[in-house]
Amino acid sequence: MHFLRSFTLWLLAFWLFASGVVFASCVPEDYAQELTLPGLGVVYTGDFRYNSARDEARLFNGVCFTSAGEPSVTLSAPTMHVAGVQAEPTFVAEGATLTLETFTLFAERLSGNAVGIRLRNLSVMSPQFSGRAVRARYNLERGWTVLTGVSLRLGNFRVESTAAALSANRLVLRNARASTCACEGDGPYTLSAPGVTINLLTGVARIKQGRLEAMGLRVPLNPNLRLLLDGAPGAGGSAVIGGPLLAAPAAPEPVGATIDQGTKVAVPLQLAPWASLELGGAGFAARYPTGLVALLNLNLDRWRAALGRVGPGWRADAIFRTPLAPGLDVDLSTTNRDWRAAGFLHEVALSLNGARRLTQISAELGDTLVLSGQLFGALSRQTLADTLVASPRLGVKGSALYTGAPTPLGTFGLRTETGFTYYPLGSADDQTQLGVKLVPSWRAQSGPLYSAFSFEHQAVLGGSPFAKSLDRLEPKSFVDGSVAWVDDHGSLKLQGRYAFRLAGATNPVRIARLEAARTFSLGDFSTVNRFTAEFAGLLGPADRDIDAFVRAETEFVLASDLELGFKARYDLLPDEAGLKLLEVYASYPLTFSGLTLRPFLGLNAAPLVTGEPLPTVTGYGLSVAVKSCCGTLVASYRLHDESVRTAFDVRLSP
Amino acid sequence: MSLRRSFLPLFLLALSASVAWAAPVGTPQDFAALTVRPSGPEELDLTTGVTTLPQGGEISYREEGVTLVGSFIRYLEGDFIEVETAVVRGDFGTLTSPSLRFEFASQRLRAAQGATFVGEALGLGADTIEIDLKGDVAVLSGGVTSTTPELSGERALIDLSGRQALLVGPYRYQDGPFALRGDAGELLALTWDAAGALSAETQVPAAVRLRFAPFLP
Repeated sequence: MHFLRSFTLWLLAFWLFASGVVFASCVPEDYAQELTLPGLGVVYTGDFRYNSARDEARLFNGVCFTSAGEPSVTLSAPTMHVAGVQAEPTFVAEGATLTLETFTLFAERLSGNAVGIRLRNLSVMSPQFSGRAVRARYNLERGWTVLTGVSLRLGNFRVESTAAALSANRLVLRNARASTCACEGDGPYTLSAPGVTINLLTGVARIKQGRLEAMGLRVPLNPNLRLLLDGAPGAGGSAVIGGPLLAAPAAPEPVGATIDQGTKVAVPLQLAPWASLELGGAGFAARYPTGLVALLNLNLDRWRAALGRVGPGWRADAIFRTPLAPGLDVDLSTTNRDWRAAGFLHEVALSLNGARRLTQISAELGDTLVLSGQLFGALSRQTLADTLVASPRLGVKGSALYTGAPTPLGTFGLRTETGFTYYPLGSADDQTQLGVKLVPSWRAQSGPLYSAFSFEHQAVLGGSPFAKSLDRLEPKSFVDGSVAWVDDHGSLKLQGRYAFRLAGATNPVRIARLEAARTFSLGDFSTVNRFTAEFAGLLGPADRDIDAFVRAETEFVLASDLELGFKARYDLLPDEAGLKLLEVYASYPLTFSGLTLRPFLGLNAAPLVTGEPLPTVTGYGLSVAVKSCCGTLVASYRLHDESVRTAFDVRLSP
Repeated sequence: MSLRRSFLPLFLLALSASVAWAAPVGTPQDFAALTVRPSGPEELDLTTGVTTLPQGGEISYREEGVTLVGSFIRYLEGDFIEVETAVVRGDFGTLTSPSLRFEFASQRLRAAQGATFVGEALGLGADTIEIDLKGDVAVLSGGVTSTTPELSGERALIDLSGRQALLVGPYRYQDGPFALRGDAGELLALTWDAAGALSAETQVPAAVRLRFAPFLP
């Protein structure tokens, strides 16, 4: 019975909303009587009964209430009971419609006073969402509606949350669980988050610390995930904006600096609010060792730790950070990285860190200065070329970054870094190290024309017994410059770098590059064309780090079906001149019932030109789209251009 | 004695023409149903039987518990009482009017030229007010107004024994925060309790409508 009544109410609400019969405001001419409630507003009604002994009124045969304040609230109901008419009015109505700025609430029961309006068993309708809530409270003064026991249809998502706060353009959900399932139950997966903020104007949901839950596993989502609730135009599904759905590929390192382990594909499983286990692999690109990733990440208030296996080797890092004052804190840490590139580092350190940002240090200039400093002591050990290096490290570091205000001549900046370290157990040559870095820079923009210039100079006195991976500094001095033209259809960029001094460099010309890109679109057909020419290798002595080549690429996309690309590279270095790449790559969807496979394959035909019997594989991948009652789940993996791209998405079936 | 007897017919004749009755002021003259307290001379027209109190006075109509006070009174017991600058008090309340007439046959008080009625819960003014003492109904017609509560209407019907009334539209009724209005012919039911607390209702209860049915079109 209760269900039937709720369902009927919902149907009525839907019909009223769908047919545009939304009571945006009261029309006084439609009502015979009016009642002014002090501090509340005006009630119009068809018929009216007032009992002055009880100071109560019953309004019937149609009631419409308009609040006095801004934003205006309109309430309509078949009947209404008002108590304390002359003193402090309170009202009760059943089957009431409350119209706020952009949304409408249909409540089985509604009551209100000068402070706010309470609703029970209600439906919510707006252009952006619809659903139900067990209770709601509207604050007349603040213009906020707080809903509890919420169940909503938000774009492609079915959302349940313990509470929600609703204003004209914003919906904030607390403890939300969402799925795109049209079937009963939770479906094979749900998304959950302690907080979701939805901009109702743009339809973008910002999800903080969300999780994907499937088959008993909980996988953290991208920590600052943004979802377009109505899906990408034409795609018919939800779209993740500005990053992947899952946190894995872009998970920030919990401890210390990001470890360079090549492309990593890993899934972090949430074991507890303070613990997660990252499982996967790393090193899917040239120059990096391929290895398994099995890392336990702990995050306990001021403690953070990462223990286990990463791509290059074993790792056991922990840090305890406690603040002393605003902008000042103390770190106690241990770092253990048992692989060659890290010099098999083992270290315990204590540091005092401070940072301060000063804006508009000169009010006329509108400039900014950021200062930071560190005082540290550490016991460090590395194994370098089978030689054990161990010593305490005592040091101080400071940096300053000054950025001037934009002027017609561009923006000027200056960055300086200074560090002094003492190694009590170092040899005479490397017992102290003093490094000073100075980087003046300039950048400017005029319409589509961008230009930038910087000079970097690092001077070093003494040296460190440890490796570059820890703290060893080397003198260097180089200049960078670039000019680019960028418009909506393409870009043209010239870039150069010249080193006056750089350890191990034989060719002072480090970069001399021309890059161009152009996009063409015609109906469903679009093409992207890129051209790169690097001449640095031709402008100086041979250097193993410096290339010279010409590369051209054309990629065709026909609607969302066919993806076809051609790429060619011709190396220009005298010893290696020749066609190195003549690649064709393609992707096309193959659809079976409820399942769409999109294989990707890239082949290099250049070996055929040079007499090899077979082309080489330059890339491969597969995208799988499975239709379910929760929409279409899409998972993809692609290795191409020495990088791995993974994607996981959910779309409603068209 | 004979002289007296010989003067008697003459005396009666003179009386029959016009008699200035020098009765003491304030002396009650009791009749069957009326108690009359004149404020001045009392003139009886022996041909018509009509008594005039040119300086007014007070007449109590005991049968209905009504007292009429005025600055000028004419009456013929059993037929009518006419009072100018009248104040009528009774169980129903107080009726004041520049000009008022009571008909014994119909037991109706009719006040014209602008009258006011103050009852248990209502104080109203109207162009004419007719009180049916037998039917216990007051009918106010034309420009019905009141200040407490603030109302106006074309007509008002008041049940003098039942604590209920009808305001006939076009009407307007304002009591504190609420303002009710009705077009021509629309009705507003008013009821009140022993303390005089008013209740207003735009949908007239059947019992109220039945009570006033004889007075409605």
